[in-house]
Formats: sequence, C-alpha cells, structure tokens
Amino acid sequence: MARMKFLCDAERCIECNACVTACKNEHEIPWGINRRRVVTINDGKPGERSISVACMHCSDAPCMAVCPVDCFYQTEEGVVLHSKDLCIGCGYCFYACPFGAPQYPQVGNFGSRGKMDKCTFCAGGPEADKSDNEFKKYGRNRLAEGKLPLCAEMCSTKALLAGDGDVVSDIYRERVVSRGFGSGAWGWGRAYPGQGA
Amino acid sequence: MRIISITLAIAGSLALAGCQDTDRPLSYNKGVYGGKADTKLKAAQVQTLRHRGMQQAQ
Repeated sequence: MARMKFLCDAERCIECNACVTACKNEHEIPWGINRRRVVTINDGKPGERSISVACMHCSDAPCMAVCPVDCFYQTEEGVVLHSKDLCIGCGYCFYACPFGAPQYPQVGNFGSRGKMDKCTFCAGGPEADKSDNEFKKYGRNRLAEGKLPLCAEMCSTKALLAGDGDVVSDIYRERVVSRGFGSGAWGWGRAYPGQGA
Repeated sequence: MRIISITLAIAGSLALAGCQDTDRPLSYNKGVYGGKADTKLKAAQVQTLRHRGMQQAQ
C-alpha cells in the first residue's frame, strides 16, 4: 500500500464547490471553518483554472516539524493527523503550511482561537474508531468504514481523486495520455516546455 | 502524637495524589508524539480502500 494522496485534476474541476459542501456536511464542521476550499485563477478570463485544496497530507509535513507540542502524527497510510487534546492552538502550523490547511474555530468571546482543525482524509483521529468522541472532535472516520474521503467520492466530474497514491497516479497518467496535450495542470508548460499546456 | 502524624501522612499523600493532571502527558520528548495511539487499519480494510480507489477511473 502506497501513501494516501489527494490529486485535483485542474482540467476537470468546474468550481462547483460540492467537495467543500460535502466535507462540511459529513463532518458537521462549524461556521467559519473550511477544511477544503476551491481556488480559481484567471477567473472569467482565458486560461481559467480551478483546483480543490485541503491538507495534502505531506510526506515531510511542515506542520509536524514546527509544532511546539508535537501534537501531529502520521498513520501507516501516510495520513497526517493531530490530537486536539495536545494542541494548544498556537497557530505555528498555519504559518508553516503552504496550503493554508489548518483552521482555528473561534472559542468564547473576543475572537479567541480554539484548537486547530484540518482535513483528516476522513480518517478521524486518535480517539476510538467510530466513537462519538472521535466524531465530535475530528469528524467521521470513513476509512475505518472502508470508504474514501467523501469530497473525492462524490465529485461529479471525478476531478478530485483520493486514495492509494499508486492508484491515483495510474488514473491520472491514463487521462494525461488520452488527452494528448499534457496534464492541464498548473505549471505543466513551465516544467515541460514545448510539451503541451 | 503518633496517630496524628500517621493521619497527616495519609491525608498529605491523598492530597498530593489529587494534584496529578492525568489528561495531558507530563513528560515531553522533543519530536515525539505523546498523545493517544490511533487504531491501525486492518489489511482487509486497506484492500477495500484500494479497490474503491480504482473505481474513480470510470
């Protein structure tokens, strides 16, 4: 088993935001928190591209490196998770993350910052699998139910892929070959000059 | 006198026992996750996830 990965196919994403809605609904995420967002560049202009962004479950995660209380851990499947019992809500991980994945709910008055919340790859947290405690703190544990993250599973254009990195890359590679003009991904033309978009 | 000192020793030890913060790890090792251990996925669950991932190709 390779590491679990997300991949958003910019050529297929239609900016419907269904992944964002599905995530919020599945995990009953409070107002003001978005574990996933759709980012669009060149909006309304030629070359417009959208991708869905959440925690990318980095192999060498910067959030883990900077956490002063070491509340992060990686599962055997490469999913980056954290313990809200240990988190002190300092915000270091937010500064370190290149994707802006960590979120902080407002607790109490005066906008004080709560414990960090982020995408769990629908893998819950360190509490007992499928327990009430796990759901309240981290959301649903779909992996334990044999299901992949809902954002990817319900994507209508199959732009957002999730799962075993080998499987995801096989699917994407087939698409790129059948398109015949490159991947359509941001930066493809700069990385591979003269080989398509 | 002896009874008083024994009583005080028992009361003191009970009072100190109540000071323990059991919710948080008390020792800190830099770079080591000190929270609750997560449940690992079973081989069958991992296989199911792999098959489910392949369905995204359709």
